[in-house]
Amino acid sequence: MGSDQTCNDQSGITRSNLMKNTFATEIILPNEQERLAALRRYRILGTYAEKSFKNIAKLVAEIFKSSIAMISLVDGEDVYFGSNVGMDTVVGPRGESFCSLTVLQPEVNVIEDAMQDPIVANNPLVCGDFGLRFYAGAPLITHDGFLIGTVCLVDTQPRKFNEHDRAILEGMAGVVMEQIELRLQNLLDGEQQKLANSQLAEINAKLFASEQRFQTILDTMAEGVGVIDLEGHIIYANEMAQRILGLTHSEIRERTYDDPKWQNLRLDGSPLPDAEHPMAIMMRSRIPVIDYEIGVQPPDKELFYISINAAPLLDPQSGQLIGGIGTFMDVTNRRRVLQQKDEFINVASHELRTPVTSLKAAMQIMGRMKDNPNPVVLSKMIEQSNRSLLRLTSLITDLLDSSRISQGKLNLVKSRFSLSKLISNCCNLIRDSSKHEITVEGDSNIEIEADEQQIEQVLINLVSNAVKYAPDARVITIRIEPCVGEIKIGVEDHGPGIPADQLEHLFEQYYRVDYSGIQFSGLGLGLYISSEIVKKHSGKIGVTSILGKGTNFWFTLPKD
Amino acid sequence: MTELNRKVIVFDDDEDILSICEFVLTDAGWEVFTFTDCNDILNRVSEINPALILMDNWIPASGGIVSTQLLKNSEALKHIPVIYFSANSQISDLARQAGADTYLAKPFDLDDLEAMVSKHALTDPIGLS
Repeated sequence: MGSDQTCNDQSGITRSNLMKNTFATEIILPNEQERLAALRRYRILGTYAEKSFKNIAKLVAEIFKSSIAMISLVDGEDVYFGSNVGMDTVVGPRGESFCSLTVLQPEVNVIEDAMQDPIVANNPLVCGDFGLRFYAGAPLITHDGFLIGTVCLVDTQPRKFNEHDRAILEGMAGVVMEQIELRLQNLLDGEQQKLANSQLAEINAKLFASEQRFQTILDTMAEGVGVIDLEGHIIYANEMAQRILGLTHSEIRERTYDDPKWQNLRLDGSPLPDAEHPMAIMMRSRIPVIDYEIGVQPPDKELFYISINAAPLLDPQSGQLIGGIGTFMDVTNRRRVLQQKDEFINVASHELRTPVTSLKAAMQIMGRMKDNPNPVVLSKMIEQSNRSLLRLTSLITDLLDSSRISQGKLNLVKSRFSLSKLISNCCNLIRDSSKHEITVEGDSNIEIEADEQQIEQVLINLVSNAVKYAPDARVITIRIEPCVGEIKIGVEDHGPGIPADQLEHLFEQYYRVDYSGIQFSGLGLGLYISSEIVKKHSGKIGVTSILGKGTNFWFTLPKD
Repeated sequence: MTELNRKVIVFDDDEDILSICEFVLTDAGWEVFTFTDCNDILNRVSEINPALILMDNWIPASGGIVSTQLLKNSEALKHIPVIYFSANSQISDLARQAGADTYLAKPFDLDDLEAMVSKHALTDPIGLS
């Protein structure tokens, strides 16, 4: 008869998932759910670990001279005994397994002669072919008191099992349980490690992304960023810092912010003492310094201006100062515009005072002779006063025009007129005040549609410039050339010419020609205004000049 | 033999200013020489040997500062007083830089011009300077 054969009233029972209790006692305790949870938390069923206690099973068999020994795990329906000696199966129904009885209470369970024990007498292992007569099992007790399995031995002969034997078996169960607990702990540790690793990887990835983002910002921002240590060494500089300073990263790293080879300057041009550098001010005070402008004169390169923000770099743990972060931008253009404005105000006040000086003097002379006027002197003084007033008016007009242009308020009032009238007005004006002779080439009867007053202003400006810059040349030529779709008007002198490096700046606001050591008066607005007027008419303005031969200023106007 | 040096040179690029100075100072009894540039200044000044020079800041070719420095570096001419003359708002700095003896800001009062010329002109008899 097989182990699943029936005996007595158990006939017909087969192994099934529906547990059939073959013992004359209840084998399920009220804490079964918790006990199962405790067993399963060890995650040992169905794993290789189930068989890993085979040596202990062998040891038990050896110690107790028994042919069958095992380590069993009592699950809900079945009992698993992957670690065994003498069995040809590894699982059996819980309702038939003696181990089901051992997990009922926390002590060694011994059945010395099954035939004599009413609780097990009807068990198929006892009454069947297997012929089980002896069983001794010690429960595997978890640290929190659940009985999840056994270390047990079985015999087909009744045996005696003394206290010493019980103690050994109990000890073996303790060893097995310790191993199971340790294994679980290892599993949990491993999992925790894995979790920590994956969290670390996630943090690393976030950090990397943030670092990348940060780096991209640093690489693309329009401000230079430099980090210095306590000694003032530059330990980091972004792309823009390298570009502004005109240095490579490795060159920057060899520098300190107060490198003596690089002369730092105050805005007035005097040397900036090291202690006045914004970085030094911040390092002393630990208070950020904002928008501090200095000049920087690198060796062998052009002076430039930077605006610096300096902030302290503190150790996040200790709060100690460990260096500084400087952000800076190139403000050379901004500074140049300001300097140009200052210079312009200087020039403008000078230019305005000059006619005021002669006007004031003329008035005083006339005042002195009011009782006894000298007709020759009087007429000369009146003429001089008129000239001064004209000069003042023209300067003020230029200032206002320039301001209108800056504000985009230069408006055109177009009409159709002949160039001849314009040219003759211009010639009259020049003849009155200079020794130059004006010749006209080309057809001056051509009619154009434009703002007459403004085009006249351009022409007068170009002719006056020729008079001013070519004082010794006798002839000024106005040349009118019809071109495709436009008319080109040129004003040519035979003066000293303008150096090529100055030609490109001629039409800039406030630019004044300065060559051969000669300084010229004027606001530096005439050509700028002329160029804006011509552009507003959709025309072009330009200049060609040959040193020693003369200069030709020209502008074009569309025919219609 | 006791005749005083009454010669004054005025350097200014503005012809109106020159004619005013000429008129006023001539009226006050000075012999006035005017120039619209500073070319060949050492020779011109040596030849005229004036009792005083009025020097404009903004004058071709090299400007008032360089021209005054030339005069003041010349052993033969450095004793001649130079009145610096400008519409520039920083005239006192410019005059100091040039090494001029004093300055007169434009626009000026004719009375001040006359007084300043009288005050600073050399009083040595001609030929003994």
